Amino acid sequence: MVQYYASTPRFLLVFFLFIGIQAISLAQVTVKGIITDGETGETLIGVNVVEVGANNGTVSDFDGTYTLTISENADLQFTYIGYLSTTRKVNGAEELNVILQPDVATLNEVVVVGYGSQRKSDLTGSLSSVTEEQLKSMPVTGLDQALQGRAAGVYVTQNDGAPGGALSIRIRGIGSTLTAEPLYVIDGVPIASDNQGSSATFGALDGGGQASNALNTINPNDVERIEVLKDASATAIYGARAANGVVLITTKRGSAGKTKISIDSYVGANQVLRKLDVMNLREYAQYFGEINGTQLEEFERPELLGEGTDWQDAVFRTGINQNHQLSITGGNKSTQFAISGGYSDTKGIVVGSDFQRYSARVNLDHHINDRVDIGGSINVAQTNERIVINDNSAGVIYTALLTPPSAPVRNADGSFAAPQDEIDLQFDNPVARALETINDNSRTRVLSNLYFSAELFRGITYRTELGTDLNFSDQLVFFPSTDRGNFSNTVSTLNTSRNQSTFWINKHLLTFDGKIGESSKINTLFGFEAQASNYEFIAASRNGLPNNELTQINLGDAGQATNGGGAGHNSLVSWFSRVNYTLLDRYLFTATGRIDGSSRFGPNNRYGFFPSAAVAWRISEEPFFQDINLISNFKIRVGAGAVGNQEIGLYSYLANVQGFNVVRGDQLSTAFGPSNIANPNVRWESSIQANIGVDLGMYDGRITFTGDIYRKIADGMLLPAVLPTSAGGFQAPFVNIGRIVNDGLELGINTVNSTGAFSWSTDINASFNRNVVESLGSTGSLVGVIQRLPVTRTVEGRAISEFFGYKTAGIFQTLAEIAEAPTQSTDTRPGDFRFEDLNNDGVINEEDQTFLGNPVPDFTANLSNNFGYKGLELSFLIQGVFGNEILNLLDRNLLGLTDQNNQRVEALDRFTATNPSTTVPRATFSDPNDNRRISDRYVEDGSFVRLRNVNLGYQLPNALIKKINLSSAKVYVSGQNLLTFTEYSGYDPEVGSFNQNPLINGVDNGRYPAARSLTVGFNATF
Amino acid sequence: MYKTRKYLKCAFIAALAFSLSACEDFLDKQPLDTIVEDSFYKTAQDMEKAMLAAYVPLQNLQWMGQGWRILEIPSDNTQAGGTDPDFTPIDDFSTSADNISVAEFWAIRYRAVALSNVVIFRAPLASISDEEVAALVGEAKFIRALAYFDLARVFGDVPISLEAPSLDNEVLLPRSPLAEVYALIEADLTEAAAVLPITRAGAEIGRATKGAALALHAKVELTLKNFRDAQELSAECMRLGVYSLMPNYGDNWNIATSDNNAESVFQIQHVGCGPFGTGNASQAFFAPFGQGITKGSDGWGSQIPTSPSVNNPGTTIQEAFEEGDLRLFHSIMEPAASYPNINPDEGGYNYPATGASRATINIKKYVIGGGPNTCFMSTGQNMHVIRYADVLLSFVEAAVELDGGVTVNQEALDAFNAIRSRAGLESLSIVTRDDLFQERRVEFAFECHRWFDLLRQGDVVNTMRLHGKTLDENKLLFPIPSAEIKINTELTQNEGY
Repeated sequence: MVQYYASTPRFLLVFFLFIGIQAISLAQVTVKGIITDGETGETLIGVNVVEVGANNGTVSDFDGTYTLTISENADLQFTYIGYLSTTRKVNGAEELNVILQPDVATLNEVVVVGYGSQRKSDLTGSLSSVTEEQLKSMPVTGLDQALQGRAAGVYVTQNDGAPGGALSIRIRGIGSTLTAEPLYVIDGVPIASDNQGSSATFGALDGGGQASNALNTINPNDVERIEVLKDASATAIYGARAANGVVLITTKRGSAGKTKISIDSYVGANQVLRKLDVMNLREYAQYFGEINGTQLEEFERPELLGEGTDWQDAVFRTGINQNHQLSITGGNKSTQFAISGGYSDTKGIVVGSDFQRYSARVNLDHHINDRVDIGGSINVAQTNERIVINDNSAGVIYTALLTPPSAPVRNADGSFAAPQDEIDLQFDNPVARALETINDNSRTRVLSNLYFSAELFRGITYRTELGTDLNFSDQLVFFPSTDRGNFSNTVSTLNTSRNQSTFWINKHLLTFDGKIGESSKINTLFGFEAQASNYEFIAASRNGLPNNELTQINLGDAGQATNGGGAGHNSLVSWFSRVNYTLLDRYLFTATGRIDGSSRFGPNNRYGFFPSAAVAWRISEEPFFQDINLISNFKIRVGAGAVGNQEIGLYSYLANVQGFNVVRGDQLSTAFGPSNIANPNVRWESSIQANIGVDLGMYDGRITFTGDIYRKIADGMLLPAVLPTSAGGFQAPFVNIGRIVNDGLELGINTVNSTGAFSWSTDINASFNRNVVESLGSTGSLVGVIQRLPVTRTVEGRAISEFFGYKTAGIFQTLAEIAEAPTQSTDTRPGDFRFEDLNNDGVINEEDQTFLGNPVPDFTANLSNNFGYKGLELSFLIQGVFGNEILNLLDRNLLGLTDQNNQRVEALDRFTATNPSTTVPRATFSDPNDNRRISDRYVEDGSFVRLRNVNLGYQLPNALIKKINLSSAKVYVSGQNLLTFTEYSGYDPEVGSFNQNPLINGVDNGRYPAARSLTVGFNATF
Repeated sequence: MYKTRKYLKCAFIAALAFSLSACEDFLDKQPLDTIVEDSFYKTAQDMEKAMLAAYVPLQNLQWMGQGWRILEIPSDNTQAGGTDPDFTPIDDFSTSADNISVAEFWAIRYRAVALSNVVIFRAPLASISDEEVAALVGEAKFIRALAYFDLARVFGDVPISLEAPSLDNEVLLPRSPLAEVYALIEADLTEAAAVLPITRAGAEIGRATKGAALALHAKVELTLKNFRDAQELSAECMRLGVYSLMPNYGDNWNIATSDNNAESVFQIQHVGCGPFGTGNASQAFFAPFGQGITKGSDGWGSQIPTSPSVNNPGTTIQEAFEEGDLRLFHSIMEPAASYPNINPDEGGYNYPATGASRATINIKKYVIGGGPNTCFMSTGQNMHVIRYADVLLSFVEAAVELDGGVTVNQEALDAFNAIRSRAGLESLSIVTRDDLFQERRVEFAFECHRWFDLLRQGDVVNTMRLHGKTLDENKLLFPIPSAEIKINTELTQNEGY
């Protein structure tokens, strides 16, 4: 008994313990909940939900909900790629809703690389990504604009501020004198970005204008992300087209889940950044009397006159732009889709300049089974542009500044007016020029790509793609007949042209993903691809149309009809391979190689080989580094490779014959002779590039730093051979003789300053680049010419495209000074510029010209900040460009003081007998001293700091939007170019290059300036 | 379909077997809108067009249209009208090696050489008969010789280019000794004379003939002082029997009768108002300034005849004409001269009694006034290169030289007096060296012969000093264009530049 009794409690204890354990282990509970994104509030599909310490888990479904039966007091771990994992105690709760915060340490971010994607942590090369988040906050017309300020080493300038105007993207400096623009690849399809081929310019006008942007047909709203591949290890897989870098554009695709319907709309107002101060009517009247010698009767009492016409007000307007996009995405486990339609309409800030785009896109993905996928993308877009002539001394903006305030815009009857007959202008009424002269450019582009992919064996996947790019464009340029004042164009001219180009690409890719032993991974790609394109165009012109209203070709004078046309084609065949090898998850090796066979090269040099290799060491993964908690990621990357630029023209290896006019007997006939001397050995421009980079993450990735230094040696740069005229005077062949070296440093810092209810992150990037032309072969120097005016010169030992001209040393005050000074002109008088006699030969002549400035910045830096608080989002981007010069050609006429054109107000301070100015020359009609010659007078500091973008958004609370059946809704206000700090005296210091010409940068010849804009918009998802 | 097959072949063979050659067809994209050299020069028609191309430089402005700047301005017949940095220095023998007119003169002749070489290289490879090949090569060699003869006389030693333009051939050529240049000219002209037709018909009128080759060759031999050869060559040309002097000297200057007439041995063909480079631009430069003769905005009096002045004690061209020489009227516009054929719808043209605004006398040759086929810098009148009168006087010159400076050779006297009698002048019974050069001077005034005549006559330095010029022997050759030397470092500069 005693034993029994004594044992009872123990038994009971054991019993209860047993029961209790049973109770605990048997107390299963079913937990369910919704998992949402901490930033967007959207539900998350496919989140792994695992009971800690048990072999038990599930994934969230299409609604972001999960249900899991677990032990009553178990911990649940929620993990999702790209988000911070979280572990939560269930504590018997039946419902556990979880908010996952995006992982600020983007180490495991997947980035797009050539022919594939990679974990960012596995990268060995140098690339920059622009994500949807960053793209979203930029209401831009062209997707390339969205790159501005976002990536180190990527210098984007808008060459032309017109809606649809062209940009230049210079990745790590200028490495070619032919073209320095990168290769664009949209969803795997390399696209023609040659602006010249796709748009009309005012060819009839001396000097022409800017071509428009070939990428306009791509709707930026469709873009998911943009990757810029910068070093050879990243770009060499694109071989002969990669020398200027590669821009990969990925469009939005559907994902399994509830069908989402999104509407994005915004409306904006755009205005010119500033107005320039020009003389008013009173000031002009006085100036006119002085320059003309005799005064007009109505100008005799200037003080009685008013302000006169403000021509800047007449040509600039508040341009309204609007953009609407409807997209539907969704699908199930086997099929996903994304369909979108967009409409964009931009009225430029200069009257008469418009841009419209209609676009539609369908992206489809279908999983036939676990191993086989098919899908594709198709994008159709039409753009209509009305272009106003600018970037020319006869351009609208340029002439608006020059037109005297005495001229009204219109006569009483509404017709366009001219100034007084005594005022001799060499150009038309600028408003008439903007509205009556027509340059319409409409383009239709169909871009598509279909794929088929199959896993042949475990880890081995075959993928083939067929892509096409079809372009159809129509241009119409009409110069009306006008007769106003002293300017007349008695016969109207109409030029019209039709262009079409087709491009196709076919790819075959074989990838292998696998492990070698326990400690290393290998990923290889073998590819073959072929592509071909052809173009043809037909053009016609007639003169003397009966009126300026109807502009169809049949109305012109048939007797003066001309027509023309042409066609061309090219092809490229490539084999390429990439091997990524990872040892112990910390030693990374990448090797790529590509062979390109191009129809642009002759049989002697048809194939080029472009290799690259890179290694990276993730030091932070080393055992000895594990104790350093401060640093979460530390990687060093070293890579080098050779890439090429095949944009050397289609047939430059061939010698052609051409027709010449010849008199045969007493009749005109056509003779045929050589047009050029060929270089059958001409080949791609090669670029050898090396890169050393460091990636550093601290405080669990809250601070990340990326730094890269590089050297790019453009070797075998194509230049025309210089032949003596005794060789016959034929067009000289291109020979691979030049060499340009770009050295640079890029820094990027990203900090997550605060998370939680108040979030704040900062991005800073900075780039330094130094460009030196090391060799031009026998060419000696290259001259950049605008409107027959040599403005830049490129010589060995200096940077490309530096401004070249005379140096001024003040203004002559007395005849005695002129007598003592080196001879300039026999008619040099006090009030004329004194130019420096640099070679001390006592004469001012062309030998005294020198380099006046470099249009390419030494240093660019960008700062962006994102703030979030309970649905409120604020972001801004500040762009800084430093150390570049601008050649302000506007001032050649606007402060030329040599004709009856209106002048800047600075002209009021011109030299006169009673006002011995030391900065502004005298007014003199014929300019005998050539005060207007290109000199340092026109060279200005082009540095600027600009508040590029500010975006304030508000994410409407879920409680509110649920009532109206929305899953998310956001309203925002965005401002572009709200503030600019610069010393530059023109409209806009962001001048860019003229028609993407690497030899003409930073020359302001009446460029269409960027606009300041304010946009309001919303997006809503059902 | 064919294109697709090309790609499929490339794709399958290349992708699977990694064979590069399978894609050659796919990568061979020949131009669609330009003609590749290797696909041209095949047929007789192609070669005809290629041959015509060699005539293009001759018709261009830089050959004769502005050639007077080099060929005539230095002589005692003309002076620069007004001031022009391109040719005033040439008149003053202060030409710099940077002179643009000199560079253009050089370049256009080498262009003709290059285009001739194309024919010489391509013709044997074309699908044409051996006779056709020989005729084309001979014709091209005539053009080449014409160019080299000018180059040799103006620059002395010059590079000899015998190859079609190609990077495979040496383009940085050194200067060859003058003797080699002349040897080439002689050989080319011998070959040309052997194969060229005696006459041309239809659309071929104006192209080189056997007579042109003989006449040019005779002039070459006179220059080389091979007077026996010169005499035989000019005699052979005369024996062809296809040339005669036009009855009136003025027939050569009237557009209705001047082109490809019986006296024409070789002319540069022109049309008026055609594309730039096809018209005769001489009127634009020669017509008196400010007289509105041309009905275009040209007529610049850029080159004017020499006339007596205090600065010019030498015999000027105005004084060189004998009393009663009918050629004067057709050569020089003198005050109050009346030209009823110039702008007849306005009642003809009367040269002002006080002279035109910039000169008291002006050149008449090639000045024909306005008209339906006369435009700015472009008349349809052909340019004389070799007239039959030149052949006759070459024959006489050879005779004079062979006979020790004075000839009584009847054939020579007949030829000489035919020219004088046409000019309304009495016959001579003996012809001295001075008579010969005097006759040439007035017969060919402003036709770009005088400077070379002076060089053959000798003592040019003193002659020109008498005309108030400052020069030395070095100035008898022009400078090699400096831009050319800069590019072609094989070249040397002439003495004195």
